[in-house]
Amino acid sequence: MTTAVPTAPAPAAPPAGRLRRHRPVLLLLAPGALALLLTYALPLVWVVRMALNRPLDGGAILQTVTLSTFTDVLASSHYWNVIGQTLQLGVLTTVFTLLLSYPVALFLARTTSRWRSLLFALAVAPLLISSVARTFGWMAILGNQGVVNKTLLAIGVIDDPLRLANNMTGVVIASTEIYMPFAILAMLAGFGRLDPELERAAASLGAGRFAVLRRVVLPLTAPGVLTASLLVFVLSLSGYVTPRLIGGGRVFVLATEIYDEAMNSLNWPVAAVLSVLLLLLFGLVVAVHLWAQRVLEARFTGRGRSTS
Amino acid sequence: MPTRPRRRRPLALTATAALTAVLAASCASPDTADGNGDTTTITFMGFYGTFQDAFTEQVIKPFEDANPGIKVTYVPIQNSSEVLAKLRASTSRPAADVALMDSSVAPTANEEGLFARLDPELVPNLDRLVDEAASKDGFGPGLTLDSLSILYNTERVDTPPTSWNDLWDEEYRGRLAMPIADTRGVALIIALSQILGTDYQQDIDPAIDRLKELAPAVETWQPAPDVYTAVQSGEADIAVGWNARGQYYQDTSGGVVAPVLPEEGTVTQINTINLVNNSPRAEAAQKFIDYAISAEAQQAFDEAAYYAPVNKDTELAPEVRDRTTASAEQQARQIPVDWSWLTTRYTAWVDRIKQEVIGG
Repeated sequence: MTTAVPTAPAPAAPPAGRLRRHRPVLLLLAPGALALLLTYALPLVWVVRMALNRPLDGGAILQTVTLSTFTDVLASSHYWNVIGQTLQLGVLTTVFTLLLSYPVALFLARTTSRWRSLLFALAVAPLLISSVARTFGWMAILGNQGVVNKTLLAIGVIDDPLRLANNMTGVVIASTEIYMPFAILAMLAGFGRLDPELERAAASLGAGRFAVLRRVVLPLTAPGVLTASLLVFVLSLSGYVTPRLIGGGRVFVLATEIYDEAMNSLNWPVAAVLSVLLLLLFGLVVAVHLWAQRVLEARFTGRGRSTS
Repeated sequence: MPTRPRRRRPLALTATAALTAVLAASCASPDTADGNGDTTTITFMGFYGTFQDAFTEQVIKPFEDANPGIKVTYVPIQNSSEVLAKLRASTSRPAADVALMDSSVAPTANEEGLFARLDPELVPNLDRLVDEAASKDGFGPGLTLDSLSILYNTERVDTPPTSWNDLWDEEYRGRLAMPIADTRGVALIIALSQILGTDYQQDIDPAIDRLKELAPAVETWQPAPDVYTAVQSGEADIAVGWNARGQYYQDTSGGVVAPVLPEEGTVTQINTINLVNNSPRAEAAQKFIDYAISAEAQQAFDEAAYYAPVNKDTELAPEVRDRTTASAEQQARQIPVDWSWLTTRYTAWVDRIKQEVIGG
């Protein structure tokens, strides 16, 4: 229901004297903060409040303050299965997206071709098409009547159609393609330190191509990869369209379950509890990401915590 | 240092003021068309897609022609739960004046005070309703009668299914589309209970167990965009779906999609038409409801959309009638269902379908 905005760590509270100096800045921030308050914080408070209610039969809601809806959800093996599938989808999608996007991003960052801008535009062009349309495209490719199965059946490689759609396989394939442009963009933004001079320097000192990749390129591009992984993981955790359309009703993830509870079962308290759990999951992911960033920074620069 | 912030402050203030104004303006919803002359505009929440097309053409347009002072705005919705959500969020200034709702959800809305009782003086057609459509407590009556059918693709299936039991046939293994995590599943459980000789008000375990046996044969539990197009495209060959939409797709697909009334009979589904509580246009709204359940409107709409009429005086063309829930065949094999009893079990049943049949 809510889209999590990965936020930067909050800056340390300024000393009292600096507050006055920051006043114009704070005033300029006020409209944005107000808009966020109205559109993000208030609905969130409402969701948390709803999570403390009890669902009654027939979609009615008992206004109360209790954690029993939380404990019911956490005691149900079904919802643990939902959380498990959500994480499974997130991990698989992130791994495949990173594996496929990294070479593309690396190529785009290093190429000196005069077609560079065009190639760059091509890499992110899929973003121009809605993920609904792209998921339907994948259904046409992966379905029982799809291009892949028809071709394989026709040349006799298989006797029965492969189950590529209406299950987790289809969702992972479609999600990977859909999130690749995001990953490529995030990686490119994080590849600032990559410098061909360093590779040449390493080579001149006797490093083989593999050693250069492992000891120079990978460490320099790690921040970009980390940002991309956070972005893709969070996007796929909250993804609704792809699991809904190509999951065949078998892929239970938090986003589809929240929708079903709210819109089909009319169980708003449980939908709210699941939304809060998803939000907590996001918080956990962002925390792990920040920790990983610090570890990486410390490891590759040898400078300990980044001071920037 | 102190001079610089001071110079910037007017800018910041202006920006704050401007944005607040924009926000305030966007929050204030415009009052729809009440201003021009003495035209009343009522908002109607109804189902999306082919339902909307047929209802606009066959009911709303003739109504507006007959009542030049009233305009009807159609707000398309996906399902009854969406109506409930939208009305709950707008109790003091309702988002609609008239709304459709499935008869298993409507009692909840009635109880929460989202809908108002109708005034029989303003809705004289209430007296002319068939029993199934009549409201027992004065709230919105039935507008459409539909039933659950088996759908199949005539190009890909050699022997048409005739019984609910045919869904379990080895021949259709892996070719089934079963969108049953909603009212269709609830209706199917009732039909299966009848076949298995159990009482759905006592015990649905046998019906659930029977559905579990079907699970491995199912290709998709959630065909996209919907079950009718999935059968038409051959993505699935056999499915369960609502009869009215199935009949409509039979026409538009040139006979590729065919709905079947199973020999054991089937379950009727009712959509009710309701007056929203606190509607400032209750009189015009009830005039519209009265027209919608009139013999004339029912005939026009049902002949386009294949619902069975709720008005006793409606005479459907025989060839249309035979394809609706009103057919003699269907009437003889009606599986009785108490939808208002189901109101409080609906969620639990759908959860069991999801967790035990689909996820199990």
